[in-house]
Formats: sequence, structure tokens, C-alpha cells
Amino acid sequence: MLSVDHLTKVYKSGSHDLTVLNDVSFTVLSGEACSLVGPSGSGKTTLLGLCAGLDRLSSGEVTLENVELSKLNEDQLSDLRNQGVGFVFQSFQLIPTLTAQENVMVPLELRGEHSVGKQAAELLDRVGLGDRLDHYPTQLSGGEQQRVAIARAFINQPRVLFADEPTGNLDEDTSHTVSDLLFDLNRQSGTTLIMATHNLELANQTDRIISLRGGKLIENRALESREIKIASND
Amino acid sequence: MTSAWLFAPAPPAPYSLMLRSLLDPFVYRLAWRDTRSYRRRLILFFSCIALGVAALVSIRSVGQNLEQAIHVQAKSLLGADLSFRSRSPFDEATDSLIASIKGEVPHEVRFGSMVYFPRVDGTRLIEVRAMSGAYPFYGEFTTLPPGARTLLSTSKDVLVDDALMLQFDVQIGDSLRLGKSTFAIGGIVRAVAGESAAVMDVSPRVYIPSSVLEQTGLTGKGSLVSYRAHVKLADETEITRLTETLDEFRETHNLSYDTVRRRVRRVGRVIDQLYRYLNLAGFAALLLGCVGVASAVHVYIRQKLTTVAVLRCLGARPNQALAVYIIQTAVMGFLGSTAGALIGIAVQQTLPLVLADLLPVRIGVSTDWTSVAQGVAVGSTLSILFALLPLVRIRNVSPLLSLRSSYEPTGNRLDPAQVMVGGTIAVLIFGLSIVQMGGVRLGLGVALGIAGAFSLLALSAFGLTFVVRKYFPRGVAFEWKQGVSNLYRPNNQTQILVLALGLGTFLIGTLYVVQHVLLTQVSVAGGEGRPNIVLFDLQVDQVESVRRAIEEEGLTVIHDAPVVTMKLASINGETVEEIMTRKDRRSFVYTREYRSTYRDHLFDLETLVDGKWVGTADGKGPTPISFAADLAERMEVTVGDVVTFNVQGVPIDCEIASLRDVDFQRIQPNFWVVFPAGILEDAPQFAVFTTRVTSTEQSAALQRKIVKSHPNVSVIDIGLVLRTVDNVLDKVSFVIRFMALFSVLTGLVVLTAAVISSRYQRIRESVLLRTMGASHKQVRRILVFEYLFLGSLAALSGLVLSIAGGWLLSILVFDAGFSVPVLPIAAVFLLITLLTVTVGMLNSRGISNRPPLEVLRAEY
Repeated sequence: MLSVDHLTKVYKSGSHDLTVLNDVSFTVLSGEACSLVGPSGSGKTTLLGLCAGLDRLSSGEVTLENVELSKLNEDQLSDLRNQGVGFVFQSFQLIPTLTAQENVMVPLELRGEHSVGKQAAELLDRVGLGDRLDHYPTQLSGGEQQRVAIARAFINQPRVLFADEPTGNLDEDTSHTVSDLLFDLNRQSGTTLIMATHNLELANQTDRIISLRGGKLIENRALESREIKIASND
Repeated sequence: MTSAWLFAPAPPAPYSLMLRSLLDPFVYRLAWRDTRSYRRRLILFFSCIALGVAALVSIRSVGQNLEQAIHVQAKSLLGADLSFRSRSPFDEATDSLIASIKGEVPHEVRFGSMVYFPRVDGTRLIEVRAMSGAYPFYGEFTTLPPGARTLLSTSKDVLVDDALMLQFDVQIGDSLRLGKSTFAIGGIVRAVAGESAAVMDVSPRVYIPSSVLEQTGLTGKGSLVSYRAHVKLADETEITRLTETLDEFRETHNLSYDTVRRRVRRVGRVIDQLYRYLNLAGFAALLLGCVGVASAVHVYIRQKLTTVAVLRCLGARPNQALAVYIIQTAVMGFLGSTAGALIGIAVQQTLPLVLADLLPVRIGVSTDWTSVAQGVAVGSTLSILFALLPLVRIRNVSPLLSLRSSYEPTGNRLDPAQVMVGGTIAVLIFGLSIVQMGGVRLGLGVALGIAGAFSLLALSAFGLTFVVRKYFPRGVAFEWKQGVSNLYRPNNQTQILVLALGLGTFLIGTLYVVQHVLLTQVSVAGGEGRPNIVLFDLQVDQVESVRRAIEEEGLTVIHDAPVVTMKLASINGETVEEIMTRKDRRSFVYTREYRSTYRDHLFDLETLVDGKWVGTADGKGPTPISFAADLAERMEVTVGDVVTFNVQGVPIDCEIASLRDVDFQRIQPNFWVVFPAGILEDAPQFAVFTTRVTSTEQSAALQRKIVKSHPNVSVIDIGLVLRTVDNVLDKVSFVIRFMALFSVLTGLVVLTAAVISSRYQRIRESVLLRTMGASHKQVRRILVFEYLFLGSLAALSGLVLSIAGGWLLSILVFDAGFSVPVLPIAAVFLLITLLTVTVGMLNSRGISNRPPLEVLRAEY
């Protein structure tokens, strides 16, 4: 599903080069839940963004479903994200001017699909927000906003879901609710999950943990108890 | 294996993608939804252009109305089909020519004279018009009582201009004295077609019947009289044939003529200048509004970056995201322009009132829908293009921004799309300017001029803000320092605000400076120690008695100059007629009537620039005369050249012995040609005196005395000229100020938009300060100081430029001394600063009292 091969990302800062990711390689299989862990500044979010085609890599290769991302132009990357990728962000990133239902409808409407309100309403119902369809983000609590974000991430039935610290802005109780919801939906729809997180408890619920430090991959550990076949990596 | 969802066909051309996005219904839905909670703000941003569009629409509509009025009232501009005029009574040939024309031909005589109102014991220099017949044939001649015009044919009563009646508070039935005769005022002239109120202010008229002209005794030899004949053709198609004959005839008979077509062309040219200025002011206001739109959209888009990044994460293509905001700005630009057009229609009702005193035609008010459509189209197009400047960068917003709010794309490459939009704007502005100004050269000049003014203002603003930032004292209270540093907050709009408010200030300031320069020029001309009363038309036998009359009033005759009228006959043996056959030499200087003097000394302000001054001559050989250097240059003659003057029938051969530099702006009898003493003493002549009075009472007393004892002598009071110039300048400057107001108001709308667009930032700053212990009062004071600095910087930028512009104008155009009108400039400075603080604080209401926790916890 996802193959990262000798990935390096360098940012130019004035006359200096800042290497954020250095020669990172790993593979995630289809249906697998994988967490990226590491301290702040270790490169988790950058790696997540590169895997989702949100940024251009400096060298190496990222292959998603046998397609090399560096060979796609911006519009093709947009199509890729729209048709097969879902996102959940730490700060929810709901569009403030849209209602909960409208936020969830956006990915399908971008595809040109019509009459998608019912689908969005059903999905919001599944995340427990069936009575909050017409509420704007500012009228929802943090946990509710993240549930809307999860519904939006699943509306286009993505093959891969990228999540960046999905419970990072939530209190402990709400975190549990949201993470349970995320994993439940993930399992039900057979989606591959790539999640950047600080939260080891959350990471331990995934099939694989990739640890980063200072931009380097220091550990790629499959959790055997999950009985998932882990592909060998370099 | 490649998954189906990842299959991407070859990308279509970018414009086709953009078009596809612009046709996508979802993009429209999203554009609409995305404006929620921003709609009022967006409307405000785009109202920046409304005033500019309003100015354009109203001016264009008035322009159309004016054109129509001139077309409809063309004949009333002249009052006849054809008018003849001459400085001397028509000769026999002219009389025969006029007699041969089929139609009515009333005669008219015009000249300047003193009028005396016995009841109020007041006197002033006016224009006398001795009329007979039905002239003007076309257009209004509005009198009180209505129909009083017939008095000029049926009685000896006279009609007096409204302004003159008001000035002296005289009534119908009162008497007035002109020359040797006293007449009853039979009516008031309210309006005369083809003449503006401003002109009537400068030279008020008294209309008398032709039959009483002789008895006034005012048209004696030496008087400056214009003889006219007005023709109403029985067959109007005759005009073409007549003008062909007249062109040749006039050359040899000292005659000039005017036709409706000529008058329309001349009036059209003057009105064109006014129209162009108004258009320019409107155009500048529109461009200012567009810059305001670009600035506001820039801030708006920065607030929308996360939304764009999220959309990109959800699969929106760059062009789709861009299309969302293009649609928003297009709709808002259209709404702003439409609102502007509606305001323009309202303003159009008032513009004719503002312009009424300056126009020789009466303009109707009818909405010109083509102008309205053009205004909306121009406003919408320009606002979209200016909005596109910041908008196109949306295409480059990385979806990564949704993960990292601090993410900044590396590199700051110039976006080719922005260059393209910038180029299109430049081409459009040049194109519009050419259309607005009605010519390529002028259009390009105006566009470059506006660009230059904007750049200079921006430079001035940059310089002033730089100086304030660098040299602002560190030891002052925190509120002052914070107020200044607020001007440099990230995404600040200081430069654009200084530009917007500065432009209006510049226009108003320049006006005050120029008005001051002109008035100073007139008042200096009659300043301390200089003459301020001019008496002319003194006959030879009156010179001594007038001198005595002046001295009896305790005054001294400062200048005493005899005046002899003459015409040029030849230069170096070549006759004027021969010279005039050469096209390159056709000039008024060869054919005009010269009023020369003779004396044995130079005046104190005359300087010899070439040759030798000869004070006396005995008539042997060519007479050594002195030419004004300006005249010699225009006539292409110099010292040593021989010229012959025809002095009322007597040819006098002269040699140019010297050239003088003459300051024609000085109040003294200045002459192009000065003869030595000993030659012209016996020629028919009249005299000019100057004297100096120290009060208006003294002036009035002298005028009364002269008009009673020497009614043919005219007296010019420089004080009155000064007041008249001031009055006319006031009328002109009111129009200019009216248009400058559009710029100032646009500046204030841009300020409102800027304050509102940075409102959240200001709230956060205020909350942070209050969290650290600042009081409401302190926060408010910081805001007041910020707007105070902003307003004063803008006003200063504009005023610095206007003073520089006024200085240049005084040197290059008016050739006058320069000084700054301190009080009006200080008043403009205070007004603009006060307006800025008021508008800024009105829009900042509530910023200082938002609960800190509400803001700190808010997720935006």
C-alpha cells in the first residue's frame, strides 16, 4: 500500500540547509494501522505530509498503491487525495463557514457528486452527531468537532487515512471516545491508517510503530499480538 | 499495478482547468457558503471602489448631459448665427458687407466704465453694453420683471446685473450714473445664455439702450471700445458661404467674427478641460479604491489560507480553490460597482449645482445609462483584477499548511500569474486613461502622472514612517510606543492607508497652496508701497484736473503715463501684410493694436537687457524706441532692426535702440513699446495714472470723486480685483474640493476596511495586553495613538507633496513668489488626522472590552 524508500527532506533556511528527514525507508501494508511516534521535531508530521503527497520530497521515493507520488502534478495529487485519501488533523481543521453536514459533504461535492447530504447525515449519525447537522464548528465542542472531522475523512471511503495527533487537542475522556471511533471506523472499512502521535497508548493500539528521532528512523516495530503479517523492511 | 483511483489523465491546459472550475456548480455553492460571517466584511472591502465608480458614473453622466446641453443650446452660446466685432467703429466696407447680409443685424457697443449709484453713493468699474434690437436671438435673457429687455428698445431705462444690484443693495427704480448721464434702473438681468455666473462676477454688466450711448460721452477717442454686430440669418445655410468670404475680408478690415460652430468649439475646449480634470479626480479615486480592494483581499486571503489548505487536503485542485475566491470577489466587485453606480446617479443630481456657476450652458439632469453600465463594467473589471493580484497566490497554498500553521513555502519566487495580472492591470489602466482623457498622449501622460503621484506618495509615506520608526523617542509612555509599533504589525496596511488618505489630502492641500500663491501674487502686486489704484482713459485736458483731485484726497500720483494707440506697419522694410502671408510668421503680435507710451526715463522695475536707453529724440532720422524683450522675441526682432508704426494715420520710422525686461504682473502702466520724449506729444492720446490708497474708505472716496468730476475715467481698485479673484478661485476650488472629497472618503472606507480586517488581530493584542495588566483606558489610548500617527503620517505625506507641487507650479506656471498658507494647511492636517482617529475608533468599538478568556480559548 505505502512504500517509503530512502526518503530525505531538506528545508532551505536562508543559506542553511535543514535536514528534517534523513534516509527514511519503510513499508505499510494494505489494511494495516501504523503509528509514527517520536519527540517534537523528530519529523513525524513532515513524514505524514510527504506520505500523503502534501509536500515535495528532496530525494528518495514515496509509492502509494504502486504510484510514485513525485511523478504526479498538483492536480493529480489533488485527485489522489480526493478519491482515496482521508485526513484527520490535530486542530480538527473544519471549515468555519460550513455547517457540520456541509463540512462532511465537501470531499464528495469536490468529486462532482450531487445529493450527498443524506450520506453525510448518516455518517454524522454514526459518529453520534445526528442532531448537530446544522451546527457550525464554533457551536461544537472540541470532541464533537473531531468527530465531524472523522466523518469527513471517511465520507469518500478512503483507502488510506492519515491522522495527525487526532487526540492531541482533546481531554482524556474525549480522547478515548474519539480514538475508539477512529479505530472502529477504520476496521469496519478496512482502511489503511497512518497516524502521527505523541500518545503511546494510542500508538500501542496500532499494528506497527515507526519511531523517529532527529529525522531518522530508529525503530520499525510490528506489534505481533495483532497477528498482522508485517512486511520486511530495509 | 496502478489503482483506478490513482489513474490521472494528462492534465488539460491551465486555462481550460480554470474555466472548468469556474463552471463547476459546487464551486459556486462553496463560494457562497464560504462567505458566511464574512459577507459584511467583504461588502465593506468592495465598497472601497464604490466611491470611485460613483465619481466616474456621475462625471460621465454630467459629461453626456453637458454635451447634449451644448448641442441643444449651441446657438444660445453666441446668441446669434454670426457676430462681428472690432476695436474701432466699423468702416464703410464692413457696413456694406453687413448690410448685404439677409437677416436682422442689431448692433452692440461694449466698453469698461465706472458706474455710480447716487442713493448708496457707491461706484465700481463695470462693463457697459449698449444694445438695440432683439439680440440675443437665441437663448435666455432672464430679467426681473420678466420681459424687461424690451425697455432697451422702448425707453431710456437701463438693466443691471443681479450681482451688481446685490453688491450695492440698489433696487429697481433707483438711478445710476454712467458718464455724463443718469439713468433709471428698469430691471435686473438674472441670467444671459452663453455666459457663466463666474464671468459675470468678474465683470458685472449694465445694459443700456443704444440710443443713449452718445449722451454718456464715454466712447470718445482713446476709449477702449468693442463694436459688435449680431446677425440672425434669414437662410442659415448661408453661413458657410459667408465665412469663406469673411476669412479674407477680416484680414484687411481689422475685424473679427464668431460663428456658432466656432463658439461651440471654443466653449467645448474649455469645458473639456474641466471635464478632464473631474474625470481624472474620479479615475484617481477609483484606482485608490482598487488598491484598497487589493490590500483588503490580501488580508482576507491570509485569513482563508487554512481553509484553502484543508480544501486542498480534501482533494480540491489549486484552480478550484482559486475559483471559489474569484467568484466571491467577482460578485462583490459587481455589487460594489453597482452600489457605486447608484451613488453616482444620486451625486449626478448635485454636480450640475456645483458646476452651475462655471458653465455657460444650463445642464439638465438625466441618467445616462451607458455611463452607468460603463462604470459598473470598469469598476467590476478593475476590482477583480486588483483582487486577483493577491488571489492568484492561492494556487500555491500548500495543503501542508493544514498540518502546520507555521508552514511557509520556501522561496519567494515571482509568480508568473501575478506578473500577468499586473501586466493586464497596467494595460487596462493605460487603455482606460486614454479613453477617459480622449487621446493617446494625454491618456498615457495622465496614467504615468497618476503612477508618479502614487509612487511619490508611497515614497513620502515610506520615508515618513521610516523616520518615525527610527527616531521615535524611546523614553515616552508605553501607550505612545505601542501605538507607533502597531503601525508595523504583521500584515499591516499602513502604507496603503497613508497612500489612500494622503492622495485626498494632496489634492486638497495643492488647491490651498495654489490659491494662496495666486492671491499672494495679486496682493503683492499691489502690496506695500506699490500702487493699488489704476485710473485710465484720462483725456489730455483732464490730466491736470485729475491729478489735483487725487492730491486733494491726500494721495500722490505714482505713475503718470500717456498712451498713444498705433499699429505696426513694417519691419525692416517688409510690410505686415507681406509678413502675414508667411504662415510661419502669422501672429497676433504683427496685427494687434499697440498702446505705447513716451517718456525720458525707465520705470524703477524695468531693466535694460540689450542696447542703449534713449530718453529723448528730435525727429531726425529713425526714432530710437525701446521694446519689451518678450515682444522682441515673439516678433523675432532685435536691437538695430527698423520698424515702422502707423500712429493713427501718420507713419513713424523707428529703430529698436534697447530691449527692456518688464514685469507685466506689477501694478504699473507697463508697455510693450516705449518712445522717447519729443516725438508723440502731439498725437491723439489718453493717460493712465496710478496711486496708492490705504483703506477701502479712501478708495471709495476717490472713486466717487473721480466718477462725479470725470465720469469717463475708469478706476480699477486692486483690492476689488483681489476679492474678485478670490471669489472666482473659491468657485473653481469648490469643484476641485468636491472631487477631492471622493478620494478622502475612499481613503476613509479603505481605513474602515483595514481596521475591520485586522480586528481579530487587534482583539488578540488587546487581550494579551490586558492579561498582562493593561487597563481598558490604556488599550483605548494605544488605539487612539495608532490612528493619530496614521492620520498625521497620511496628512503629512499628502501635504509635503502638495507644498512641493505648489512650489513647482508657482515657479513653472505662475512665475510667482512662493509661500505656504499656514492656517489652511494646518486645518487640513488637523481635519484629516481627526477624521482618521474618529473613523478608526468608531470601527474599533468593543476591541478593548472583549473578555480575555473568550478570546484566548477561541479556535479560529
